[in-house]
Amino acid sequence: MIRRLLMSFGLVSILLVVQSTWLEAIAIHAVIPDLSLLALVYLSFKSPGMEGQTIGFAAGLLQDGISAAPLGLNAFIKTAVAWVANLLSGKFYIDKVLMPALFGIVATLLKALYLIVLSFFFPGKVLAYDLLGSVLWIEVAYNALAAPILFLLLGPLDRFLLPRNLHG
Amino acid sequence: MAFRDKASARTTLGSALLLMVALIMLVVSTRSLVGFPERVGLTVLSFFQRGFDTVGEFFSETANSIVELRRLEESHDELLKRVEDLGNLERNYTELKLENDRLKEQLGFQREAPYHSIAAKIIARDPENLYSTLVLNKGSMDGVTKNQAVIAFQAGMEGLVGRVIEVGRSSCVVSPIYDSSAYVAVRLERSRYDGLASGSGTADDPIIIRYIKKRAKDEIQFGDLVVTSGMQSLYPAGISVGRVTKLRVFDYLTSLELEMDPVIDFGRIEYVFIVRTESPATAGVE
Repeated sequence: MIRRLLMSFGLVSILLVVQSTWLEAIAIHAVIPDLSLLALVYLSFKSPGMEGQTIGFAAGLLQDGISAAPLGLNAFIKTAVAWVANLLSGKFYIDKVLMPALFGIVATLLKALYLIVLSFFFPGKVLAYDLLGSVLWIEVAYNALAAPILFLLLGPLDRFLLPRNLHG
Repeated sequence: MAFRDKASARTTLGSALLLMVALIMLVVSTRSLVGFPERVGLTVLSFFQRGFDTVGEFFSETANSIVELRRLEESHDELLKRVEDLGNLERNYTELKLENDRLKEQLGFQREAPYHSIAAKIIARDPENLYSTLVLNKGSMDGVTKNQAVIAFQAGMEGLVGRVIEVGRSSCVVSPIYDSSAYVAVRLERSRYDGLASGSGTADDPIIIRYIKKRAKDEIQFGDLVVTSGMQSLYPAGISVGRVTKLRVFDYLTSLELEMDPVIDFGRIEYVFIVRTESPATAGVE
C-alpha cells in the first residue's frame, strides 16, 4: 500500500517536473498540457480508495512550492479533481481514445471551475482562467490530446500503481 | 452493502479532510504567514528540475551540434579575419580607455558599477499555465535573497526580467515583469515622466503603464525607451524595461495609459543576472 502510494506520488511528481522543464518545447502560445493532473485522474479513477486524493494533495503541495500560486491552491485543486474522478471510479468503461480525451476535457474544465470559485473568495491572490481567453481552451484541447497517450503509457504500469486485484 | 457504504463514507470524509487542510493552507498562505513549506518544496523539486533540464539540454545539444559543426567551420574562417582586425582595434581601445579614465577622473565620475550581479540559468518555468514564474539555478547559498531584481542581456541591451519572489538553497523563483502580479516604477527616458508598469499575465501581451500625467501626451513618441525609475527601491534606477508601442487617452482618467513591449524577448532568454543591490531597503521589502 505505502509502496504503491509512493510510486504513484513519484510518478505524478516526475510529470510535474517534466511539465516545468521539457514541455516548454512543445508549448502552444505558452500553454502546456497538465500531465500531472491527467495522471492523477487516471490513478483516482482506477483506485477505489483514497489514493488519488492523497497523492493529489501531496503533489499539489509540491507544485505550490515551484509555482507562484499560493500554498494550498494546487493541493486543493488536485484533491478536488481527484475526488470527483474517484466518485466516478468503476462507473465507466475506459476505451483507448474517446473516454481518456473526455476525462482530459472534464478535468481541465473542473480545474477552471474550482479556480473561478476560489478566485472569488481570494481576489487578487488566486488567478482564474478567462473563459473567453485562449489559454483555457488551448489547455482543454491539449489535455484532450495528451490524455489518451498518457493513459496508454500508464497502462503497463498498473501493477506498480494500483492494488493487486485491479490490474490484470 | 453496509460495508460498501461505510467505505464510501470513509473516502468522502478523508477527501473532505484533505480539502479542508488545503483550504486552511490557502487561507494562511494568501495572508503571507507561511513560506517555509514552499521553500522546502522548491528545494526538493528544483533538484529534479535541474536534472531534467540537464538531460534535455544534453539531447538537444547533441542534435544541434551536428548542424553547429558546419556552421562553426565557416565562422572559424570568418573569425580568423576578425582577430586580425581586432588586434588593430585593441591598440586603439587601450589608448582610448586611458584617455577616458583620465577624463572621468577630472569630471569626478565614479568608476564602479552601481550594482554587482550573479549569473544564473533558467532551469524551469511554472508548471501551471495561469502563472508565469521562472526557476533559476542560484539560491541562498549563492547570496540570492527575496526581492532582488533580475536582468538579462539581449542584442547588446540590458533589460529588466523581474524579481526574485522565493529562494531555496540552490534555486530561486522569479516573477517576470509581464506577470499579472508584477508592478514596476518606470520612467520615460526621453521625457522623464514617471509611471507604474503592470503586467498582463502573458509574455505575448503588452505591459501597461499607468499614472503618466496627461500633459506628457505631446512629448511621448512611439518607440520611446522606458527605464526603471528606482523609486520603488526594488529595482535599481536606469534599467531598460521596454519601448512604448501605444498611447491611450481616456476622458474619464486623469492620466495617460501606455502600452509597451519589453526589451527582453522572454521566449529566448536562457541566462539572466540577479542584481545584488547593497541598499538595505531591498532586504525587507515584501
